Amino acid sequence: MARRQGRRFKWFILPVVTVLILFLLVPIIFFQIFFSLHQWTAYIGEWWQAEFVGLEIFADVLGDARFYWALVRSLIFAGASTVLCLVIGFMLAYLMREPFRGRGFFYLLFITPMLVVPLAIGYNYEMLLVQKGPFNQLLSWITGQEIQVSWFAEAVPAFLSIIFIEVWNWTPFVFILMLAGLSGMPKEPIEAARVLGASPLQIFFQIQLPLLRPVIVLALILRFLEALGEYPKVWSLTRGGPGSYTETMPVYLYITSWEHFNISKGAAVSYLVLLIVAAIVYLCIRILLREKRALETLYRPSA
Amino acid sequence: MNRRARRRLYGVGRYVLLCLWLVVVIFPLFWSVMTSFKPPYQWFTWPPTWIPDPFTLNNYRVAWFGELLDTRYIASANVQTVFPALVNSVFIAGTSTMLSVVLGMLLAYGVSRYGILSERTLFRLLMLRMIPPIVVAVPVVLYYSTIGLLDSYPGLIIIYVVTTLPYSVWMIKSFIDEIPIEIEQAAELLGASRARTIGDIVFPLVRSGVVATFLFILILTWSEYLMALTLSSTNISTLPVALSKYEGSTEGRLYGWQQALAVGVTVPLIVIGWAIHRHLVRGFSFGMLRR
Amino acid sequence: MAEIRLVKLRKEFKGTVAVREMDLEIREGEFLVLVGPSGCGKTTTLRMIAGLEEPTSGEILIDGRTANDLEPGQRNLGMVFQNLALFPHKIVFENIAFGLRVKKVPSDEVRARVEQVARTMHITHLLAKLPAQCSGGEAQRVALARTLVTNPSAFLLDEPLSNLDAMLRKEMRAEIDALHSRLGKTFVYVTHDQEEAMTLADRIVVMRGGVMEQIGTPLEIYHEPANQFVASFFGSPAMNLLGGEVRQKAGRPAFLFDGGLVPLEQLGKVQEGPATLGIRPEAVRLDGVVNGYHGHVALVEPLGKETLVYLNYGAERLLVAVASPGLQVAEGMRVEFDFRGERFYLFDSEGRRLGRGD
Repeated sequence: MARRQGRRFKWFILPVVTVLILFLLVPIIFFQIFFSLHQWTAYIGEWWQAEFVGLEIFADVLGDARFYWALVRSLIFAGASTVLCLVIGFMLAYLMREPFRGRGFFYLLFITPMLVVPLAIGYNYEMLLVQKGPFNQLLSWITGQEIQVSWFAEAVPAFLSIIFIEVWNWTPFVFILMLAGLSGMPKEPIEAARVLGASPLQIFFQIQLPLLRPVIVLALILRFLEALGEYPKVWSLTRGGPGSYTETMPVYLYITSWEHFNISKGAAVSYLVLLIVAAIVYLCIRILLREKRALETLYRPSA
Repeated sequence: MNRRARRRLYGVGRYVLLCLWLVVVIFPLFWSVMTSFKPPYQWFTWPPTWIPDPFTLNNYRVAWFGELLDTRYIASANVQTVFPALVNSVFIAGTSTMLSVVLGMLLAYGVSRYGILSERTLFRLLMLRMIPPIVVAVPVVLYYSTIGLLDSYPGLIIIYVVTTLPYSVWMIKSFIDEIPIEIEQAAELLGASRARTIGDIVFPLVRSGVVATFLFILILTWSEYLMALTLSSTNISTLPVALSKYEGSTEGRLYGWQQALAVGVTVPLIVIGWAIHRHLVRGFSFGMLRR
Repeated sequence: MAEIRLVKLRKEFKGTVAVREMDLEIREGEFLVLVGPSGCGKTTTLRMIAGLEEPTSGEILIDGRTANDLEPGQRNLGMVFQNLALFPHKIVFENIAFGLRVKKVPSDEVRARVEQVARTMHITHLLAKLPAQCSGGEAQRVALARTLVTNPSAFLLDEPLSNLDAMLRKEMRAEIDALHSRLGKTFVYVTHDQEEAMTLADRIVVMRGGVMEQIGTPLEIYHEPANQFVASFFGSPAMNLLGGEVRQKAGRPAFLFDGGLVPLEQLGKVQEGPATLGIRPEAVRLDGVVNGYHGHVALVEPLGKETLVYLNYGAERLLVAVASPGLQVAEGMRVEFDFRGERFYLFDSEGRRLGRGD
């Protein structure tokens, strides 16, 4: 790809964007740090009059079991939903990789959940999962037994519910990526493998899967990171309940900042989470760049 | 079993599995739409009402036009007309998407043709976007309240532009990359100016991709909830925020109205999504797919 | 060793017929080439033999046994694809070893066989590399090695040389030829290049529109083309086709064309009517011509070992001739040419062969 001389252009556009981003970024970081080091109880004086308390707030957060639980829940939530999204999305894509009658119809319907407003999904499922609700009724029909699971009042079902709606919402994303990966795969090597006597299973594991690795890694990483920060669905479905059993990190943060009005604590938590997530993102960037490089050596001769 | 029979068996099995997931996908949507047509006494029954009988459009009238049709529920519902929220949503989503795409185009062209940022840098910037917005929600609110941008249109729009910019840059860049640079060089050799080359040659070729990017980001900004909630109070509530107001009632859930609103908010997105689905992949893949 | 037979083989794709009722017997150990223009069905036929496509009707017999229901991997065939189809993520060694590993051959035997084949194909130095790091010719050898190592009973090759440059193509052609001689196994080869077909084949099957136009040895095809299509497909430069009419002149049949008259007595009974006369460029005489046809030189192409002369005759028709080295020709020159007494072919308006004269 040829690079053109575009210095004038560069000096024109980059500053604009940089200014825009810094306009937000710098103050945010400032406020983040300030409020995590100054205890400010809202409505008592202006914020710049808040009392400097050093690392006390951080200590408070790090000593709060609720904080750790929120993190753990987020990790489990993100991990489980990502894995499920991947498995289901991949299976769907694999089944749909070859044209067949009705494929377009299935495709359009399968991508729909991704398009629904997340908040609405939460409310929707709230309706469905009510104890005396259609979902339980459906289960009762299928299994023939009376199923009256209280999806909101008990810890484990509630947690399963939020994982399920996350999977429902985002499987299409993984599905689209996987399908694109499968469609873009060269057909001839697979035919060659067939003639050489490989079984469909061998072809799958030895050829298709390795070639799909970059896309799979991409899907996993993108989904995981987004699931860590998922807020509207969890909030609208359970509000972190029952008790705090579905209190994932974003929910915890929201409650701390806006319901307890503990802005300082919220800032401190934000800061810590920011560091943790930044570390994870950094790792992910390295993994993805490595995959990208590996992909390029496969299809473009080196040297 | 001969090959043809084996293939047919596979075909049947495929349909079965796909239909299973189809049911999972459709069931909640079906229920949502049905509920939006149910009269209030059918919202919360046991056994649950699957098909409303009679179908009623009242929920839509209440939710979208603010008609107070059922006085029993007035006290508990914050039923205001949803019209301001609609206007806000259209304005905010439209403006921020437009700005994001325009800026995105400029940056994308710069990265693709001029290399103003290396791909690695762009990649890293993109990944930064992956940091959950909730984490910066608190400081943003504080910052905005200090400089008076809280509950203001520019405030939210700026946030949306900055958070969607990575997507728009990346997607448009991948569309520009698809056009061989020789085409531009040919145009320039024929005497076309930079501007003309871009406007007359490059842009028409990426137009469909840009439209797809626009619509994709529109979906994101339209359905965004967290930032809209925290950064607005009275002036700039968007539709998702309005939707959440429906749960504030004390007399059980106002399912019908809520779903009528939800359906109305979501249907445009579904239509848009179906229209652009072909283009989404090209933008999404972040270079991980071999074309 | 395998004898492959196709019985009434037919393949339809969504309304178009790719291969029509084809009957073909491929003899053990022969090098059979399927040749024809794009879309003639040659690749489809090959893929049906391999098992990658299922015939709409008809039978494929390998060594006397019906193979229709066998999966590609069960037919013990080796296939080389047009774009090689190497596994991009596996090193060359693993690419070659794939067919063996799939059959769970023990590791040391795999190593021994792969190394041996690598030596035969002169690619030992590539074993640790990825396909993307190999040149076109090297990759071609790897593809061949990959099929060789599994010891198939027959080899199917689908335009394996199309993606190579001209020089490499000639080199690989010779290698494939040598390979065939050495192994003595059946080779079924698909190409659109008539020169490849001529040089490699024991027998050629000419296909067009899903139908076998002719089958025979290269020389048979060249000198005894069954119809106009086959005649013009083979030979470089292509055969000259002169449009004209068959007339009876005083009881003798003759071919009337823009340049004059060609006596057709030796053909026996010939129908009057529009016809085409085919004459190969090398059969057109330019020097020492007396009482010949008249034309003038439009273009001269010196190729080194021979010179091609494009002649205009009659109403701006073109004729290609091969000039012997010593002949002095220049553009614009008026010449006399002749071909009576040389081998020519007569085709009717549908391209069917009417007869041959010389």
